Amino acid sequence: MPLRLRSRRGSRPGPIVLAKFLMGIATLASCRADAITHPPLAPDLKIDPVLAAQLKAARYTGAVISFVNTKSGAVRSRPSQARTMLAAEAMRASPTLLVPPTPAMSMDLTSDLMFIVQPAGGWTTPGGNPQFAFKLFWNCYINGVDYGRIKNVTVSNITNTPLDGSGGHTGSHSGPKPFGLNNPFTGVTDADGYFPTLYTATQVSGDESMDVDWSTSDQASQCVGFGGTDRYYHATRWEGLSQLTPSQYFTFGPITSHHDGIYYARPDVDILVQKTAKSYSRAFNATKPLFVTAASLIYGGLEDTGNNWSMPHQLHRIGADVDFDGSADNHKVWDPIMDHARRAGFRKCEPHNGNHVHCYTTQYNNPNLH
Amino acid sequence: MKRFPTPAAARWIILATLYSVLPLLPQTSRAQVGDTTYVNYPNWKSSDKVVPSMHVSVTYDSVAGKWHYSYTVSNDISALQDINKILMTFNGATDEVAGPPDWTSYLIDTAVPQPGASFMSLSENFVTVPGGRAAAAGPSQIAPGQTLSGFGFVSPYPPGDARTYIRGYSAVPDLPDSVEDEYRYPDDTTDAQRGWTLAPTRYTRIVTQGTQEPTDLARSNRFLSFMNVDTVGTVLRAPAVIAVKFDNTSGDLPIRSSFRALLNGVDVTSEFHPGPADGADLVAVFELGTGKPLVLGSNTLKTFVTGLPSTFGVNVIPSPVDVDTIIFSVVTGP
Repeated sequence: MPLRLRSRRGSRPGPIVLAKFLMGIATLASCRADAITHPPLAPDLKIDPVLAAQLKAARYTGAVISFVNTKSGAVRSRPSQARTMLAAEAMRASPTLLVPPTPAMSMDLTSDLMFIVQPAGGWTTPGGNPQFAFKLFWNCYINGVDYGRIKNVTVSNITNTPLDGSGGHTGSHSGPKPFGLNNPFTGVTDADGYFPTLYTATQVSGDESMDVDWSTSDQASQCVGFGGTDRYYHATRWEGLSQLTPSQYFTFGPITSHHDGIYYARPDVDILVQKTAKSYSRAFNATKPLFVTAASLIYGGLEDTGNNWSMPHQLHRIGADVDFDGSADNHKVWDPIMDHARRAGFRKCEPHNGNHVHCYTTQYNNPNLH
Repeated sequence: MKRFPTPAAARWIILATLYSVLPLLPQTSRAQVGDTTYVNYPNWKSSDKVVPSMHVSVTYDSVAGKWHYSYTVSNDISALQDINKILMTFNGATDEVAGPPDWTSYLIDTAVPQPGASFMSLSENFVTVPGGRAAAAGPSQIAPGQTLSGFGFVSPYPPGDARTYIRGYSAVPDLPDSVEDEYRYPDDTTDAQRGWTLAPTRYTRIVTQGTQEPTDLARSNRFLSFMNVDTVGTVLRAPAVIAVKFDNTSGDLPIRSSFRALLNGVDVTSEFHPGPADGADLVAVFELGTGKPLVLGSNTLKTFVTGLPSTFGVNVIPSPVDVDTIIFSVVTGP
């Protein structure tokens, strides 16, 4: 559902002067926590020229946010949510000035996420990177004119808040949903006007808002004294998973936990499930039931079937594992299931927990076992 | 467990009782699993301490157009484990599978990467072993020194080499509750005694169109193709299978009824039997033995097929003949 950008300190848009702040987020190559690097950005990063032209034509007053993906070079811009406070203060100073209305801008959690990272998990999420490094910077805009970067911005806090119901975790869970952290989450821009920070996700997939509280005391800037809070959205997702295709050859186990789906997997894993089930059904003329009892959540990550943000499932985080079961919990049922699954292409299958067969496609590498 | 009906003898062509197949290991069981120093599965034990031999009998029902396969499995007295699993990989669709009483016998769909069949002696019970609980022994495992028959298939597909894995009962404990760690251990196809047998096969490739003989008229060399042997150099395990296909892909018109085959000078045309259209057109199985044309070492197969090349008029007389000579070697053992 599209989310309207709003100021947290919301006051109505007002006329006047104004400083517009361009807040940009420049994405950097993903970095590990122990080796955080922020490649240098071009010193004259501009907002999206299309939007800049619109703002200039409209004599727009307010802040503008830009998202610069240094990997692709793409620039995305939008009005800053902090502008309303600044506009209000400006209106008090010069109440006769008029400010054009804010251009309609909206975002949705699919197309306008500032970034997507993969859930943490170490060896249980091989190939994943739960960290995202980026920089913030602010430009001062007045009546559509860019007055340049502000060199002394104080970030008083960056807070991430998990969004309820996201990441497939619907319904009630015990305890607060884990959320990611920025490091640093407070400080002052560097000599170039950048504020570098590193976001690290948790093991739980889902969407989060990120509020950046900032202010400036740059006496050289015409925007001195202004500040505010900008809210962004980002997500923790293991992407590329889709719901296992229903089939006459197997039955999904009932979902008893508070998740809208636990049967998501990679498309290639879906194919293996279909082949396994069809072969198994044909082998026994459909006289022996086959159940699929677990795969992954829609965006992977920790599958907390206890609704408590913790295991029992250590794996099932990347759409690579599938649990099967049959009519009874013994090897006379499990071994043929495992045989069919392995021959269908699963890398390995083994009885787990005394009540099902766990089939792997990914080679995990648990360092505690090697 | 389902058994095959006794066929009407008149319509059956007994091709051979074929002995061979799996690694016949007369000595104490030889580990095939290889290096297991990397295994970290708690209390894991290998399942390759069996000494199997597998005898197959292949017959052809000319009325039904079906091939019948019957297997007898033995476990040498030197084995250290009972045989409880027989896994076969082959790609020919199969109508029926049967196994001895108390064995779980089933086919693996030909749409999966490793189609075939499996036979397992499985128990619904558990036993306590170091590390937890494991499956109890199956009700009719093949103990060392024992032989068990009753394994078999009925299929429209002719025989071909089939990889076979025979495993022993090892009572490896199941993983404890809530464990989803990535333990390392050999695959079932590695942790087994591996060998070959004959099983329903859909031949899918042409190895050679045979030799260009001096008597072949132009373009007549393509009437017959060979699907599992080259003109020279192929080594076949006994019993030896020869699979051929009439080739009309270029518009040629081979006359199937004109097919003749000589193995080491002996007419073996009648040994060839048809298969489904999506595989080999004719397949013969030759066994070694006194009075049999097949011999250990070098063998020569000569085939003759009359036909009409697409570039010839139908009134061409005499019709061109494709003569091919295949020289192959036969060995015994796995």
